[in-house]
Amino acid sequence: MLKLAIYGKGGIGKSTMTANLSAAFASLGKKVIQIGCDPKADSTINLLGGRAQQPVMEYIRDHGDDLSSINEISETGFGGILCIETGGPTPGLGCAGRGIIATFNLLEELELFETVKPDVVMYDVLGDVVCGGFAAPIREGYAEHVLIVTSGEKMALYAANNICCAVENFADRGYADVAGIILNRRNIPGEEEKVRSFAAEKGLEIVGDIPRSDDINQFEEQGMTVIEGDPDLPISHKFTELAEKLLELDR
Amino acid sequence: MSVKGLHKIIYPFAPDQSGAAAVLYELGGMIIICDAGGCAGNICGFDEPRWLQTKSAVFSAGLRDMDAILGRDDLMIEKIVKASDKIDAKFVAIIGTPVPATIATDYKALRRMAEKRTGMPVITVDSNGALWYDSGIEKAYMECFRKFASDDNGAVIPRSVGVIGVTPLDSDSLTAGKRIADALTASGTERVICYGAGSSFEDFADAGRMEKNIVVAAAGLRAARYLKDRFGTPYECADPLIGDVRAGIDLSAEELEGKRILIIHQQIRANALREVLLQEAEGLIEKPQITAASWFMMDEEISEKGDFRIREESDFFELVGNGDWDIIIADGSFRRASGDFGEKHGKHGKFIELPHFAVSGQFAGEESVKYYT
Repeated sequence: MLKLAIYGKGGIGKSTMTANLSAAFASLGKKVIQIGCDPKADSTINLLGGRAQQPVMEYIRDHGDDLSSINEISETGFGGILCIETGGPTPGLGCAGRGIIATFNLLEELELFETVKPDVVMYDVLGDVVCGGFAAPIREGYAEHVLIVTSGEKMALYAANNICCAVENFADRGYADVAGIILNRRNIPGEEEKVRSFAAEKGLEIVGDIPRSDDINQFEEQGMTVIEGDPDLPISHKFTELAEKLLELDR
Repeated sequence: MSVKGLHKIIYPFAPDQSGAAAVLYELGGMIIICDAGGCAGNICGFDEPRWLQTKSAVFSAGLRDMDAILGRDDLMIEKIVKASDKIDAKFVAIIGTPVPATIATDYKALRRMAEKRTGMPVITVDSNGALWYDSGIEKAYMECFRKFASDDNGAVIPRSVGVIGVTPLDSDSLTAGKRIADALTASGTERVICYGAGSSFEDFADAGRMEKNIVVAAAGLRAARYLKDRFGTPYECADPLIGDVRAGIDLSAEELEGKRILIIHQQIRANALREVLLQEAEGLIEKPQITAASWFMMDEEISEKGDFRIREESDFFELVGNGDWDIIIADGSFRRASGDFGEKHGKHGKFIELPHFAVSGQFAGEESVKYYT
């Protein structure tokens, strides 16, 4: 089972990368679970035809946490991908990080992995590692590898560095490792050099290089990934190639 | 009005961290209660009758608000390392409470860090203070067997028995473990391990070599099933001390005739007492109807039709008030809540005390307290 957590600066395209990768894995015949770990609960929207699913936290608030089946808190999207959104508290209240952990505990109680038997699990995590809750996806038993999404922009690289440092600090805790960087291009001057320099400094590989593409935006407007919209597009091939490469991590 | 989880008349019972500590108390480890101080105080001051008699290394982690805010797990690890230099502990156990449950402390990470720093085996129990003691007992046994039971300690030992579930919270005295071991030895058993009562952490290594296991409290069932799956060790549920328990109950065989009786305790003791009373009633014309009930875990495999899991005070009042009972056998602390329980059906019900330390602790009437002094 390949378990990946996608981190990166807010707005850098984590959910887009995650959903397209999930769709690519599914197109390669893999059973995929995508778990959105963001109170905004919009990670899986483009796997579900543009429809927002009910997040776990909202379900628990309405129905309590005595669930009998994973079906109560999940939906099946493109390519049979099992979609789950942790959700979170009302903005400004409560503790979103704790909500992620509560959701994970619930998924464990429901024996998600044993029941669904996925080949790939994708955790799409909110922004930076801001507190213990947002490190939950890389705790032992969850994601084994971290992918950092960044562009060549200064603040995106700053956030990427923070994530690398956080993972380094977790070395003695048995947490996930950083498997590499996905360069999500914004076409700023010198972008590739800046990201390559950062990757070299951190000893990381740029595992994916995703060009800026209007096709992504166009299909997102229709509530789908490019893989679903047109698998023959060059940008779709990029995601498929990346998915094939990432599957090697599990071999 | 009934509020879920609120006890207005009945005492709150021992929580899960107390159950976990009760299993680990005698094993020779360093027990860290991962709390601010109150939970460790509750364990040592109220829920652990051995505290005044038997030495055990039980500590509070002494967590403060800044530890929670800053996630200073490393400070606790430092404290454990310092303490381990001074204490001859064989392992470390970190027991959860509401504080780590609220901030979602990563126990797996704590275990890794503590093992690396101390060089000792470390177990963690993710108790949270919101569940009853039986949940903590269940988890602590599981952690101990997973960590300490060895796959290659040797062949099955002939005439050997493991006993799971003996803790002061469920037993009727501090000598329960010894009395069970003596009784088994007298009947030809050559090796007895009462896990957590008169045994050490090293004994857990031989768990896979026992010919069979006896489960004396429902909280031990999950561990027994685990050992059956892992080593093929068969298990049975029994209360070897039920003869002594019966002797302490003021109820003649004749009084059983045609009676409706409710027994409230942990499931295996309630079942065992029912069995004994039904055996005594075999010669009677009208047999008694006996129902077992418990506030704690009730396993379907050993339940009989009509047995009842009490979850809320309102369940208790419903069960006791509308049940047409002639006799209730339960911890003394339920006497007041039971009131004149036969009145509705024109009876004057008889309440008989069956002590349960997890329910009444040190506070029950003298009838219960005398069992623990």
